[in-house]
Amino acid sequence: MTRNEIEEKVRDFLIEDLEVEEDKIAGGAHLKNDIGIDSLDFVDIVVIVEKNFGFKIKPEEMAGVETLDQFCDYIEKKVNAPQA
Amino acid sequence: MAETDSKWSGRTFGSGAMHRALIAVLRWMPLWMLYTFAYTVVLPTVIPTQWRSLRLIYRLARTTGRSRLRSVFVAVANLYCFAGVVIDRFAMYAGKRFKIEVEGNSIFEQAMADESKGTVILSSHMGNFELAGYSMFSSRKHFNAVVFGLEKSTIMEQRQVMLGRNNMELVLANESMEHVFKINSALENHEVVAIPADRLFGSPKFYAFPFLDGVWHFPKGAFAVAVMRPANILQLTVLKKSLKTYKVFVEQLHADPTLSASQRAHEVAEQFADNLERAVTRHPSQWFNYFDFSTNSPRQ
Repeated sequence: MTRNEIEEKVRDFLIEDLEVEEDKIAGGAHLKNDIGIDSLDFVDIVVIVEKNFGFKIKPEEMAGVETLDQFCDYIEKKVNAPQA
Repeated sequence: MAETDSKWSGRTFGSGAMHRALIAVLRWMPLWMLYTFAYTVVLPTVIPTQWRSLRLIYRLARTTGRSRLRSVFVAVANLYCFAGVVIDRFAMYAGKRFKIEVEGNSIFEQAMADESKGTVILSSHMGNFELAGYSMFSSRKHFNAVVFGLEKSTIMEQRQVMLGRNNMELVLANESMEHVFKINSALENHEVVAIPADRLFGSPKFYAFPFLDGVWHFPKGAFAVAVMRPANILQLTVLKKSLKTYKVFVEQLHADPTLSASQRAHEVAEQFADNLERAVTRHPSQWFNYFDFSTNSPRQ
């Protein structure tokens, strides 16, 4: 999956499932402070990521993820990681 | 004791030492003796200071068509009943047992027999969920009780002791996202997850529904959790019937699988609010959610 495809999918679920306003979605945007993602949204994110990208988010791997770019980096790394 | 506010801090009233002393006393003291002490000595002193709680319950009782006099009686009875369920909760921590009657047992049995998915229990501050809810489910499936992380450590410790004995574990909901992962994994493993659904805590997002005399706010988080995975969704109301008897009402909530997650959560929340409104209308003396989340705007 390419970086563009990942960004598009993330953008789609932020707008459609989490009802985030389109103009708030920018690469450097802070997930919590700028986009307004909170623990409630995270419930949806856990399920949506699993459904759309086919892997489970692990809490320890999300520790340093604060911006949308970092979130997409994390997904890119997971989906393109060689299968064990 | 009771307190009204628009936002719950996540803490339970009383100091840790107070809780430990109460549990120690209840290990040897018969329940009726503590009730007598609370009813004749403590409550007459405390009740006059609880104007906000009294006013809230009086208002709810009036809304449900009760006369002024009857509503005053209900408000005072509510505080007596609240003292009773608090004593019972600590009595349970001290090892005392209560008689439990169940209405809707077939719904409960069906959910427990379902090996294909987990069960989400939505509870409220009506009656005494903790007393019956935990033990009913834990004997059949692994039980995860979502509690708010700022509650007193004594309560946590006693719950943990009790839970450890009964195939249960506490999931602390706090600022970190860890509880979301725990809940997700519990539901994936077809376990039971219980979560209070009538108090805002953490996320400020809420559903506003007509409720009794106004529009009340219900936390979106609880309902988002309920629909995050395919699960049986049950609403449990545990009411005190007599000194040592509780009655559990089990109701099934439905989520249309063809709808989106947010629509399903809204649908479940609406059913929850309707059932809760019916229960509060019938038993206002057992409504212990003294945190007024209503916008106080008139019902349309």
